[in-house]
Amino acid sequence: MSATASTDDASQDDAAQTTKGPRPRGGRVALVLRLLLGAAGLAVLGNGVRGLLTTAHVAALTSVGRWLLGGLILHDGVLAPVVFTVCALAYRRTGPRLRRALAAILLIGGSVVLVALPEFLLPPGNPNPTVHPLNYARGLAIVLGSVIAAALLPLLLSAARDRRRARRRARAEALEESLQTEEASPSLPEAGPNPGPDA
Amino acid sequence: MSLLRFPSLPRPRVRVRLTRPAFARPGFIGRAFEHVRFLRRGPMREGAFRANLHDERTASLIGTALGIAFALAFITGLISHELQHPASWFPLPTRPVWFYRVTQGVHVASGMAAIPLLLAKLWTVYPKLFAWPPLKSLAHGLERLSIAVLVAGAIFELATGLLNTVQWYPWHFDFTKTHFWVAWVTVGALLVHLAVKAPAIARGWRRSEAAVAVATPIEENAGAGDEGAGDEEESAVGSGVAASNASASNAVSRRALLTATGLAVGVVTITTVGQSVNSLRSVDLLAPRDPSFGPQGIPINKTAAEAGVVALAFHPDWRLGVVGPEPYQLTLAQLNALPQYDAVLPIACVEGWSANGHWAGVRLRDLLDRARVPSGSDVNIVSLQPGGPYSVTTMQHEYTRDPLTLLALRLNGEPLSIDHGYPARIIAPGRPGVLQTKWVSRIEVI
Repeated sequence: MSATASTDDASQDDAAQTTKGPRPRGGRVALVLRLLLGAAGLAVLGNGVRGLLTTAHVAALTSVGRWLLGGLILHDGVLAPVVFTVCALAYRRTGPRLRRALAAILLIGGSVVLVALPEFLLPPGNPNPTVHPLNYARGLAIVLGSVIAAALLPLLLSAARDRRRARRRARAEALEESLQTEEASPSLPEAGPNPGPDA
Repeated sequence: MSLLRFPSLPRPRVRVRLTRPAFARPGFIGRAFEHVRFLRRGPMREGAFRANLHDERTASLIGTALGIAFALAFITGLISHELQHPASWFPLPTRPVWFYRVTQGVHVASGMAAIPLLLAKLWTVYPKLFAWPPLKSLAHGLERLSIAVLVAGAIFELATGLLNTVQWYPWHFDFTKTHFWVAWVTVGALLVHLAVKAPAIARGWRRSEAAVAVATPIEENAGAGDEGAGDEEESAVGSGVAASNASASNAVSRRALLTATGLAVGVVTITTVGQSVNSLRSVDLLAPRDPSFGPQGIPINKTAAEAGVVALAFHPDWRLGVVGPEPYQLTLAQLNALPQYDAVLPIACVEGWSANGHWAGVRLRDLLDRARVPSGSDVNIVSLQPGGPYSVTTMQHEYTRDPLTLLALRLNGEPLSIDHGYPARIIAPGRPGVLQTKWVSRIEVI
């Protein structure tokens, strides 16, 4: 409550000082709504904390705390730094189109890997054969392969097209040049004093 | 006091001091960090993050999608909780028969979809973790704390939910209760976050690409900066605004990021949702279940061996006991001799998978009528299972009187397999799979 309240107070003060109330009513209604939303949020949060404290015993609560903090640390301290480092390294070595494709592969492929991860880490020995029935290595290979292919194929195709176009252009230019020289050579005797090579 | 003693002091300054002590004025804590600027290293130094796409608009657009996913998961989670622990005011729906199949399918699918959304959202706002000064005011500190709660809760819910779908519980707490209560904590923190960020979210929605490029920096600089402390401070997120100019030419554009996020949601959904949407079974490449894989073509949640009921279920002395005003017992042969009914009903599990079965057996209401059980009373279904949370389940009168609720003896044309609950199991419309009690031995009126 105090978080939202004091932030709102501050922004209200600011608004009053700087703008001298061009939006007095709308601002007030919005502020009240935000305060109500914040209060509702704190009530919901409080209910959750109460529920945790009343239903779980201490050993369970330590485990809950470890998993709550563990997730936060694993993301903010491990996953995100790795991703940002990889991105920074890739940034220096890639052009904009390849960069976009790689970013898409990282986000889509990374999500798929995370979703499928439990299937690979799951300790064996569940007596229920209907859990985990698929060939997940095959599934993941298909999905990742399709994602990578879909992201990179347009790049490869357009690179091939560019190369083909460049080659065609080079050939055309070469042809044009040779034509020019051919055209130029018979005209030369008329134009200048230089005789042709065959002349 | 000081006014009396030093009347010559410049008045306005003194008055400000009297109304608000220095430590209570906004910006004081932030200014204090000016004295420890040497701590501003590593990811906290200015410009540590390439300021692309860590801006208000990207955060609010991805955040909106994530918020919708969380809202869906929370509401369907509450429905699942109410169906399993109904409050007296809660109307228990028996139609449509696929009610729980849909709500729980949505619950698990929205949780799966939230994984890429949460990754993208956290990536977008990650530089804020290293904003300088780390603390501007008490309010700022509380807001950061609420975000820590929100992020920790969100990761906790998605991780535990995902592990539950593969029946893996590497922790020392009760999954169901903890997943439920941490959801409240997370949603509470989310509402606080929405209240704090409402103006920023509104700006993020309103602004077109062009407007963002020329607009003022985001709230961190515009709002809190005017006290002076943060004026020249440009948070990594704030400078994202400037970068969106460059994005068109050089870096990955916002559109590309949003498209990739949407595609990630699509790929994750389509490769897992086949476990509940059976028409998508052919692309069910990564789901923990195949809805057609199991005894008699339907998955199970617990084998008879796990439940420790094999010997009891096959015992020739097995009888169904119905305990009411006029109690009685029936053998399996006697049950088979009673009028039989068919019902096509889904078995839909809390873990998200579901599959339709063709069930046949005796209507529960016929069995209860025979014992003269009053129509308004709830009953307990007792399983042969020696223990466990679902060895006795309560069935409310909405279900007991439903003509589709069966004490099933056959599935897909064959007698029930032992893992599906031989000799007799409950199947009722619109209920969570854990309440479709298997290996029934007794039905007792409450």
